[in-house]
Amino acid sequence: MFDLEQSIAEWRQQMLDAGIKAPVPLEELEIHLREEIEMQMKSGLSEREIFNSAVQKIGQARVIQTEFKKVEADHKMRRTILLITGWLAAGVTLLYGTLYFSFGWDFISFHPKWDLETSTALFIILLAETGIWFLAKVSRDRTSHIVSLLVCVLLAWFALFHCLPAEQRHMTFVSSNTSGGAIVGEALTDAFNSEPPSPIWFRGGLTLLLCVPCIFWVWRARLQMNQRRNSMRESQPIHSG
Amino acid sequence: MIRKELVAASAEPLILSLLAKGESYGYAIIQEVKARSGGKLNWTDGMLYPVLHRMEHRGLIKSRWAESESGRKRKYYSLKKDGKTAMAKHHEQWSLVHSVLASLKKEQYV
Repeated sequence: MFDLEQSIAEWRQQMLDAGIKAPVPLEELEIHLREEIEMQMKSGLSEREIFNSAVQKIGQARVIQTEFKKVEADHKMRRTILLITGWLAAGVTLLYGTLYFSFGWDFISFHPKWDLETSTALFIILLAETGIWFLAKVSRDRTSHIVSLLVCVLLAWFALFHCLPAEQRHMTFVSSNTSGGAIVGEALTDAFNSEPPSPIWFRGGLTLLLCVPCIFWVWRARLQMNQRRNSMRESQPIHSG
Repeated sequence: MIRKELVAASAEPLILSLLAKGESYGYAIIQEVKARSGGKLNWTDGMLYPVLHRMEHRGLIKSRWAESESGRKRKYYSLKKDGKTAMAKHHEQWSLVHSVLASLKKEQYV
């Protein structure tokens, strides 16, 4: 005796075995199959014939899964490109905001100027930090992980120079002049040296702002690692005794 | 029967044009395409869903789960703003191909 529900359950299993994910898109495909079966019920054919015809119309599980894989790969690539662009943009914005913020203060008498420039710089920094927090939350693939780490390390490296007084910064840049970034180093040294020295708490604050992306990155990496460990533990078979 | 390549190429503009009339779901989309083409445009039913998902990822359409009047759960798709723009582009391009073909065919009978 043909059991329609049993046959649908077996078809579902075939789809799952081929790699089609549940609930979506498997549920969508099952609804389609049931609609087709219902539609053919008036045709006078037997349940078995109707089921076989509907399954044939849906198509082979492996062929459908190949198409879904293509869609997924396409989606992943777009997402990675967007994430990389986001990380680079957020990193540059934060760096720019920090530089701009330090230039917007009156360092000689150290009476902070709360003008439009300073407020804009602060807003840019907060915007970049929020963006980085969001990006760290949604970056899951390896490529965006590597790029984000690189951005965070570069920001932290730059932050160290915020900590150092101008003379020490100059020394560090001169000693690293043999490296590839000599021209950039000189430009930054000039920019810093044109400024009078600022108090350590202010430089420390800016350093912390530039290190925040690193903290976000490590926090998300730890969370994702724990999630992976938990899912691996859950997928392991339970041995009795 | 229409060639496989043409069926694949026409899927996106047809889906967009159908959804421009109002939201719809997978099974209804397939039935309407079959009816309008007199059964000549025959999609493998299951292959419609990867196309719909790709279009959704690209931001052309959006979806929502809802219950039909008969109580059946269905995933309804509807057009987004970008989908309307894409549809206009498709219409323009397909019209161009059609007009070139028509003019060449006309010349053959002169």
